[in-house]
Amino acid sequence: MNLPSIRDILSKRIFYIPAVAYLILFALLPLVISISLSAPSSDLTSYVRLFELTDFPRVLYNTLFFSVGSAVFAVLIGTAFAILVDSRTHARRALSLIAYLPYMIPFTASALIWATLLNPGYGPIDPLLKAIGLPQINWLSPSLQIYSLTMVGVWATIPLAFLIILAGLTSVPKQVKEASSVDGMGMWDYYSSVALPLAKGAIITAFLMTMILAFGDFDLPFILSGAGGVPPVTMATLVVFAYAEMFYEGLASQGLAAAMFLALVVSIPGLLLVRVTLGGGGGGRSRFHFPKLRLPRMSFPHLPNAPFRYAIYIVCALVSVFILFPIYWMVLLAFRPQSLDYLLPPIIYPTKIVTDIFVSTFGQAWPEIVTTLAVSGAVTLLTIALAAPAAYTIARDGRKALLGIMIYIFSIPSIAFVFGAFYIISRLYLLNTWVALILTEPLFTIPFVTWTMTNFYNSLPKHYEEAALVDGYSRIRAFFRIVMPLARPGLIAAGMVAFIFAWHLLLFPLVLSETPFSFAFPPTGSMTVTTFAIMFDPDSTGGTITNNVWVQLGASGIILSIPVIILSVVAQSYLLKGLYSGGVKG
Amino acid sequence: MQDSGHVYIGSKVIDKLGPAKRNIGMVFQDYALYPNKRVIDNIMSPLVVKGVKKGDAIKEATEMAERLGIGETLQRKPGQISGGQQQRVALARALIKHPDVFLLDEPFSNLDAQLRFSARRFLKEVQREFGITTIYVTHDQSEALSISDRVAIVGNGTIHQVGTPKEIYASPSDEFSATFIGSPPLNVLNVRVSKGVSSPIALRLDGVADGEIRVGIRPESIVIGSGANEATITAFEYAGRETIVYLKVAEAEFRSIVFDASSLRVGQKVRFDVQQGGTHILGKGAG
Repeated sequence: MNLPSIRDILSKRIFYIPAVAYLILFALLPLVISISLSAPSSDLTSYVRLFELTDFPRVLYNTLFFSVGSAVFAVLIGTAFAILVDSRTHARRALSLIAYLPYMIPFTASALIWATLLNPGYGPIDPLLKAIGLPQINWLSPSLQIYSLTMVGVWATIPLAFLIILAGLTSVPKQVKEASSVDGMGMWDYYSSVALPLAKGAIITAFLMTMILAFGDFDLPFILSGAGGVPPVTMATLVVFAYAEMFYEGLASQGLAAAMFLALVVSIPGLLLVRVTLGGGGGGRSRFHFPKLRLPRMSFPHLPNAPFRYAIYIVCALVSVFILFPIYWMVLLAFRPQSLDYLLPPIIYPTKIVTDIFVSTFGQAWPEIVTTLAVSGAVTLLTIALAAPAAYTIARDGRKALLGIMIYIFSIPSIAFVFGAFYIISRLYLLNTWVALILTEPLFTIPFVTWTMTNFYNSLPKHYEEAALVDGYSRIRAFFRIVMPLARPGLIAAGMVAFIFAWHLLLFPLVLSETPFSFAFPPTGSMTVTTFAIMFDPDSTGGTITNNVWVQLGASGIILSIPVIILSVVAQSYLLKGLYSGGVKG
Repeated sequence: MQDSGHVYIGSKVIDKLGPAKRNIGMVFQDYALYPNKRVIDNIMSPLVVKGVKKGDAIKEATEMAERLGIGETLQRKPGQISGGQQQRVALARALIKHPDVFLLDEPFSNLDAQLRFSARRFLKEVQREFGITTIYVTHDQSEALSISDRVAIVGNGTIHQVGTPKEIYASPSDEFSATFIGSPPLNVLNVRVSKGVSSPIALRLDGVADGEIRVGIRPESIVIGSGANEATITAFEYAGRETIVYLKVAEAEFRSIVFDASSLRVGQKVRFDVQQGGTHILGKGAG
């Protein structure tokens, strides 16, 4: 037998070497730096001290409540909405759009809008509740903050749960659905005994993904607890607690210990997600074997169908109001006179449309918009260049271990990387530059895009490449000449997902940037639209009401949402395809 | 939904009834068994949703499974049994409702040729035993001939002919039904008739007016050996029991069947005759 030549070895591995090299430099290295800085004297003092803090149990409770609560309710509501859409033959698109809407509003904007909605006294929710005879509640009082935060978390994660579960329900073969109606099954019969058990994998994936997302979420708890400054312990989750320790209290090792502890906790759902995704069949000649996760048996009692139908309708109608009102409120805020902001009782209907503040906010945000467009565009290109070949080799050569690593990295909270990344970027003297963001942000996009692209390549027929190889193409040439052109729809979808991801990011730009972009030479400044928007956080300046301009808040929320809305409208089918396969296959 | 008219099952109009209320049994092309349910649960699911007590439903489903010869698969899931067994499960699930009519949508298209033969016989037995009117959709003409009491030939949204298999084979109503039935397929050619004599092939045509006509000739009714016509052999297709011989007269090529082709070779000129009743006039010619 001939020994494989270096050329052969390289041509097999060249597909994933760039992605892996990137992840070693910008995921593993920051993680290692973070871990070593969390224990500066090479012992576990900072970890032990963590558990001695009097506030720590409360932070832990908040974290668990927020993540598990968000996931449970998002999955329940997402399931109800997915059943509604799946059971209908008409208006599916319009109904899907409602459940999908919060996805178009970046977390930062959602959090800002909710901060005004929940504002005690001046927010519009109190009078609404009063109007239907419910008691007024101070949503942001210390005892309720964490529950309000969870409500916002549910609002923001419904789309993800909905999309994954709907994909699970619609993957039931059409003939099976028809057979159930010939057999006389009603709505409850069909969903309880056929569709939901078949969509079990999708439901569990949705649960794990929403939970992981909430565990690591920085944007919502950070902004709702008053962006900047030390968050009140009554609503701090581990992420904002760690952030405050690192960047406000100057207790880096303490904060890092909290972040590492969180990463450890998230590893449980993270590894479960890896197993759920990789456990299901699919040949491949991997040395690693992921046993199929035994999912719990789903069984439901026999219930009457008609009440179930009405229950679904009622739940979805209420949820629609819950989803739509904040978006309506954001648009209303952006285009109304500033004088209406702090009135008692608040005015919740449109009176007069004013556009000058919106326009001036747009002008004010211009450097940030340029920065974010440029950075997100570069991140998208870098992501596709590294993730597409990696996904290709995972799909074709069965490199399941690599996919497992990607999913695991995806599940680790950004707070675990941020200090290490900050350390590396400051050593390279790149703080407050576009390059800093372009280098570090793919850490979030590469794993997710690799994952979705893998599903895409799996569904791409193999015989074109096989024909190319028989015709004498090398693998690399076949990939660039044959596979890439065929994969264009998948690449476009993946590119859009990467762009939206990068556009959304708050924590990294917040830590790595100081000033808005200036056109002087050398160009400096890398504040992004998210960091621009949080300047209008109504809670951040603590009481000096006149500084807080809700109009600008609404306007910057819309500015934040515009690219996502445009991408969704222009190419909804591409985007849905990319996302659908993101969570479901496997 | 129909464009116009009414759909009856027996004397009952079912225009506005939902699928469950029509009381039909249906077997789908790929069976559409519930993949997450055991065989027994699949078979009894129409009873369960109707509100039949669980014990009775299990008893009835078990009996049905025994009758169809799948009694030993009851505890398994559809993915764990063979294609033939899956099909019987689908049949059992459809039959357990005691439907008024039984609809089968190409039920054998996923089976291999061997299994298809035995499944065909089995289905016919089941149909006899249960005595349920069965509508069977197929693209396979031999299946249509062998299994049915009556055949309706549907093409491009219209019914071309309804009749017993024999009627359809012996006297097709038009070119569509003529070419659909028979293997190897019917030869269709244009001939010119003048004063009762046809050319280029001499056929026995009575009372046909002069002019171009289009005729269909069954391959088996072209007998090679002697007769009024002469043709050149252009090719053979060996088919085991018989051999298909391609003949050419002038510009027209057509098929014939012989059982012993050992004395024939390509290029040879042979005489042949077309048997009475083997010719179907399909319409005016040049079409």
